[in-house]
Amino acid sequence: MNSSDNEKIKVLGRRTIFLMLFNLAAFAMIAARLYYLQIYEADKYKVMSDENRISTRFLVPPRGVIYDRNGVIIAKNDQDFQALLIAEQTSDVQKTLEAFKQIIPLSEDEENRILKDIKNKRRFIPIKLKNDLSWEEVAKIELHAPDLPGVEINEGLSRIYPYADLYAHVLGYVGPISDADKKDNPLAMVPGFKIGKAGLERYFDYKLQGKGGTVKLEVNAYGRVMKEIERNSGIQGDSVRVTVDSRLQQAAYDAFGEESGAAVVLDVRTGEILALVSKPSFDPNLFTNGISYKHWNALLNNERTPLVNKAVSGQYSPGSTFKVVVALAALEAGVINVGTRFYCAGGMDIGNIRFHCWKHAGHGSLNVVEALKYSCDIFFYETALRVGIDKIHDMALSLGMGETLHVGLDNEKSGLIPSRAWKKSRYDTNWTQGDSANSGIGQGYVLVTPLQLATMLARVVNGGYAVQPTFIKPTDADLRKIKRLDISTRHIELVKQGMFEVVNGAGGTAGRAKFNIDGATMGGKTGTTQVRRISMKERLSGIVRDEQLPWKLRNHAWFMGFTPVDNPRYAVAVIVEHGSSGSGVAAPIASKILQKALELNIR
Amino acid sequence: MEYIGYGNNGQSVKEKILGMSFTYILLMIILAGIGTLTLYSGLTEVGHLGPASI
Amino acid sequence: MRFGVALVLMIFMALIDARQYYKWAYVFYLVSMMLLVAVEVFGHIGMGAQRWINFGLFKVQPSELMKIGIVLFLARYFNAMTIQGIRTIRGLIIPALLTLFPVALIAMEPDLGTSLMVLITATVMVFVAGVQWWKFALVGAAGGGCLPIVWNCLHEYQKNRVLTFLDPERDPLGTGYHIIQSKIAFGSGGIFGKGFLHGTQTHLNFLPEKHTDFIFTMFSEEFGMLGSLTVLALNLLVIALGYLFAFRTRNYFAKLTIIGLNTNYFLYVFINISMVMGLLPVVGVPLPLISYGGTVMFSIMASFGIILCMSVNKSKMAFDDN
Repeated sequence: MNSSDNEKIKVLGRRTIFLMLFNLAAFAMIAARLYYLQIYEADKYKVMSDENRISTRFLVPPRGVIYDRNGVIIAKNDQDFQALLIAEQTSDVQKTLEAFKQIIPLSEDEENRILKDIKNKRRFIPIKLKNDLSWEEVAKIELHAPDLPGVEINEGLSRIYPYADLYAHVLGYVGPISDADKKDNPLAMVPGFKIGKAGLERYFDYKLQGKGGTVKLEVNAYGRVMKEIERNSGIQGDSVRVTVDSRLQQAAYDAFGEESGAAVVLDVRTGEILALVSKPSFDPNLFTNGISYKHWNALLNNERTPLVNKAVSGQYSPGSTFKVVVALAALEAGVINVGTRFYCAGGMDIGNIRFHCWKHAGHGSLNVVEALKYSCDIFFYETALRVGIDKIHDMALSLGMGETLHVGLDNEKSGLIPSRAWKKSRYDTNWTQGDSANSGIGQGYVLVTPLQLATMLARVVNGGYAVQPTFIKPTDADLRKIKRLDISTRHIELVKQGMFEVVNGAGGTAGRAKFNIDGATMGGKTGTTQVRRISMKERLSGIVRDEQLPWKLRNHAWFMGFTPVDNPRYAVAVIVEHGSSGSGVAAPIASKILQKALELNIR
Repeated sequence: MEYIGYGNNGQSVKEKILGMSFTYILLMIILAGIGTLTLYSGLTEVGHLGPASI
Repeated sequence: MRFGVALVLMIFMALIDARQYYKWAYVFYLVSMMLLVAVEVFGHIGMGAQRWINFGLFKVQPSELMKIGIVLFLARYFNAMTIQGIRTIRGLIIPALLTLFPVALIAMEPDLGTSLMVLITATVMVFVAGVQWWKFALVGAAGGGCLPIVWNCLHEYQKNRVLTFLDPERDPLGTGYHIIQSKIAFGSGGIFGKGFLHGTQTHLNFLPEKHTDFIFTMFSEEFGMLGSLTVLALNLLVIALGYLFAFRTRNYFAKLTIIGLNTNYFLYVFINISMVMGLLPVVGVPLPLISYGGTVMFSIMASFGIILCMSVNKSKMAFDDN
């Protein structure tokens, strides 16, 4: 041992102590870092950790059910079975797909979509093979499960309309949300979410949708679902009960047979829509999962326009049915009264134009009741000229024409009740006597929808109460708020008498449609409106019989009816497109519908 | 040659073994135990659900 | 079990006569160096870096041998010198060259972590041997000056690691992903942790390399700060015991060897834990005894064996170059 060794060891000792202190400091720093991460910033990192692992998905709530007035379900949700394929659970995707095709045939389109999905989606994401599987198909797939590795059956909900075509124009349909509608609905991104696209499904969409649920899933770094953490199923949409009666709806639908047209049945005291039919119709179930092009084009190109809701969107000249409005306007204005008689010689000159009655021979002298009964044109030309368009316009508007009634269906049209101001702004010409005369028999510019016509009739026959047509049963408070129109009961009774005679009087235009059920009879008014113009030449050479014309050129046939005549409860407006004759085609349909309504005793 | 062999640094093998710090060795065993435990956790696959039914 | 074999190796290393280490110190260093050169020339490709030599039965990572080799070499070298000699510049030339050469070789593998560890271990030994402070300051200043040159020599992935360390948000889905996910795992573990087998970050695979470099993260997520501090304390105890042995032995070579190997262990623990917590760039240093991976386990247990061996040798006998 020398002093140098001692010195070396001393230096080493000192430096080692220094080194130890350094190590200790390093560990202290690590401990401080642990404190910082695990206590000071722990909350922040806990949130980040949850964001990493928890994926929240929205669940589509079951859509609200729609009932008719008797509680019969007319729109519901049914279990829908889908076949899914999870690529990672099969060793050979192609083989599985081939095996599946042996059991459930796939169209070429479907197969291409599936192959595209297999290519584009991650292997653990289920791919839809086929929707809308029947029980038998599900059973077949289950039976062949050993040959179908990776194929799963999934239950979903799909909208079902048990009455199919019957309610297409009332309920509309649901469909996948379009990009334009996606903006602020969080459910919009969820596959399988459907919204009301038309009809009451759209009108009540907010109510029917319900509140979306959520499911919190734990996912790993690759997005695979590990387990379900929390589930909130959401709230089913509210159900909606509408005023239609399925039995009456069916009767009205069937009454048309093969004819095209529309019918609206109202409860005259409340305005409730008891039936609303537009023919031909379509099956809204086709739309739920996206309609095929083939079906869509067939609907679109059908000359009878099944996609158009003729009851609210179809605007037609009201023809002779409008005479009720003209008569009331004239009676109220005092230009005619119960004893006023005009002479019909089959034609008259207004200005330098010759106006004809439908009956060439003329009706002779008649009063307002007889004029309605025989639907004399000359009487109403004369009446219209005397009362003037302004009063007719006001009366028509107060009875619900010329404006939309807002029942909630798509493309509800306002119709058209012409006025001096309207003609001036539309054509920049003055109103003429001829215009008034034409309006007097519901021709010329006047246009109404079947819904408006039914509303007009309801307002007249209920004694002049301005009921509002609606699909939702009005409350007693609503009913008390209904205004009484300023029309005298005497005049209303006169018009009703005229309409009674139309059906029940000898020689009335709709005599064939009359009925008497326990004393309840029908009143109403026919109408036939020209689709084409009859030229002077044709008039001279003899008018071609309507039945001999092509369908498209035949007249539209109207009938509006109510029952019972004594104490009216139901009003119906029926239009048969190109039906030729109001009395011959439309009146029997209306008659059937009203008889059914009486028989059902809907209240 | 005197350096070859065990424990002949004036100590027998027994002396050497007894002279070792058992705390030191114990610490190592504890740390390795913790390591094994953690590795076990790391190697344990948590089972996963099938496809999410949405 | 791997650890059992390593434990036997440790006892075996501890039972070797302490003087053998002294005697074979230079040879061991030379062999390590030759293997390093060999790995550079014929090395097998592993993990994108040439690090292994395959001896058929087992693979050897020469850089691991070098960690021990450099310690034995420096300990013997300084043991033979007087304090005055140590404090001359001339006395430092040989240790400096024989340190920098393997450090450069390992860095070229490339294995920046190990290379730095060897460099730091050697520096610490030179420091405790008594080289003056100002020399370290000088070298530090010079090293700082050379930093831009070193930067240019780094591989792209190494540069990325450093850049990502400085700002993990720079590339949150690429290189920064490891650090961010690791910090989330630590932070969400909180004080008590998520519980054994309940670490979501690790079990849901958000955390990469969880078995190796990031094992402490996984441990900390599941056992929280209390668990982490426990592991930290145990490691501190291991290191403290090492220093205790260094003080108790009366032999210079033994003291310096223990300090060198102890420093090596400290560096493992410090670098690994610091990097997974975002205090240092991710340089790929495992946590000894805990991380999965054989070579490090064997080399660290071997060095523990040497420490034990030196600690048992309490006699004040001198090692001579006879």
